[in-house]
Amino acid sequence: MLTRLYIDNFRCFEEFEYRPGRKQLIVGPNGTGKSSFMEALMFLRRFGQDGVLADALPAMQPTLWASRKKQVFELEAALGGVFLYRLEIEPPKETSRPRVRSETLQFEGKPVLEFVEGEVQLYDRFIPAQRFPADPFRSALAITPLGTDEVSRFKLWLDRVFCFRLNPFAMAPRAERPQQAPATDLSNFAAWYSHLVQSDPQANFALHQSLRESLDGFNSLKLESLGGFVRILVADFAGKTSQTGFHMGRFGLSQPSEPITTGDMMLGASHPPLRFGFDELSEGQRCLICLYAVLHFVLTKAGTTVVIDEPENFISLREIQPWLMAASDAVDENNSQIILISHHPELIDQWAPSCGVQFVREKLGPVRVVPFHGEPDSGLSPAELIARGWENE
Amino acid sequence: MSRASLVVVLAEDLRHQRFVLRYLERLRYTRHDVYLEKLPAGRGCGEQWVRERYAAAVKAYRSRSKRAATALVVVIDADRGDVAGRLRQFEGTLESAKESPRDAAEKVAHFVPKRNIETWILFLTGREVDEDSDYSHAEIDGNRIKDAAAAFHGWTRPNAQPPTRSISSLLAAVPEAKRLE
Repeated sequence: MLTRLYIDNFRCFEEFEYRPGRKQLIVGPNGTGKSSFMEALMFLRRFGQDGVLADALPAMQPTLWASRKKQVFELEAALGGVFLYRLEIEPPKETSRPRVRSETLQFEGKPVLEFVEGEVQLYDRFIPAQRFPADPFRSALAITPLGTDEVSRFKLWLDRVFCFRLNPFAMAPRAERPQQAPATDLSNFAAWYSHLVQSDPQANFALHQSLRESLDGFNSLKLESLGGFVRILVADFAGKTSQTGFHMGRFGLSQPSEPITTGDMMLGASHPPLRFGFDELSEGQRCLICLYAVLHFVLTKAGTTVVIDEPENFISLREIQPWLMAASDAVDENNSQIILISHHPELIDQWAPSCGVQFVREKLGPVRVVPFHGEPDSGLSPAELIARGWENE
Repeated sequence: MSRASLVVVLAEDLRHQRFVLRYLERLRYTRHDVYLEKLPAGRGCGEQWVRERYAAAVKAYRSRSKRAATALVVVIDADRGDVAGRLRQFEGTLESAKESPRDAAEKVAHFVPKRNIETWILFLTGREVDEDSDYSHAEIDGNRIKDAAAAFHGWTRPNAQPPTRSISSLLAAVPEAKRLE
């Protein structure tokens, strides 16, 4: 799990250090770096995987008041021992491109990979092994093939760090081919789901169970062929309207001909079932489906780290708590990790007392992380305390 | 239309909440059947928090129970006091709020661990405990809470034999749990 993130000289982060727990809620006023924290993590993940530094967001946005000539990012992860990944970037000067000053990976304080001055040094069981020149505009970690135990373990973990900021307006219902990686906004949800159903039918079954509890009349989510490789994500609901009220949708979706059954209970036996294209669902329904998909397909896998920025967006108040309980259980039962960023009272009231941290800034200075302490004698709930601005007094 | 919750849980802290949730799971309540009341803002003030909200929670329960199935579970540590003392406090709270005392038919269950919820969790998972020592700092993970709730469920099932050894606050919770049947 992610145990530490250190950022220096990116946006509002100056010598910023954050040590997340297994379950964490990040709260804080606007402009305290909550979303930037996620973006820094996304950058490190992308850089460690794809390896291209050009156009990297952090390098474009050094801290305004800092005059340092480098940006530093460190990731620490407990994976049967502590990994420390450190990246130093030289921000671009006028027309030049950002470049890697150094990139290192250590395990339990011993070297695994070092990339300095255009030379990569790999270590085999901590003894210097292969050495080769590399492009200072790319990640040495990304170009190092899976093989040495430590590099593989760290890279595989990095693959299991997921950051989400759901945007239902961007979620396309069409999937041309399965995609293994979810986009941050889940704009490729249909294509990702297409991959997931094939790779993890058990999780898909659990997803359906959760959605039947959460969405009134929901029966199933499926991909329907539109010809060729193109498929469209549809959701079947038990019909509650008259037969003449059939809505075929703009893709002219076929409607299920048989009454929909759920377990031993028949839904809508007296009403025709309805099939909706994914984009015909409400924004909230789409987000809820995505949140449960993240829960069942990602969070139930040991070793995954999931960060979600404002998961409650578009979700009805009634549905927040059941999802939160399910997420908490998934983390407890599978040793995964979840970090939520939220302003929502329901999340704050449930999670802040036990696993809340606040991102705070004084006078637009650097961001600090402080535990959420609450105010035992106030008689106020955590959200009420924050709403009054009394949480740091 | 949103599905209505069936059981409201008023708890003084996260572990109390988790224990009750796991117990309700054993009774086949789903996450959608349960609504967790908010927790207090700070640690160490939970019992006061629960007492302050108790009358409103009972009032809400009574209002809803006239038209739909519902239940209320209140879980609060006895701390250095005793179970009877906490129940008297609840009675007093209802009286102050001009609410009638809890009657035997109401699905309002009071779980009052003595000395604290950790005492129950440890005992139910096989550790020797007494009700005077403070176990609130014991290392307890989610699985242990789940196991404890499962053991407690075993005690409260229809036709279950009374345990041969127990602690008094847990025994007092068995008839309370029966209110949820």
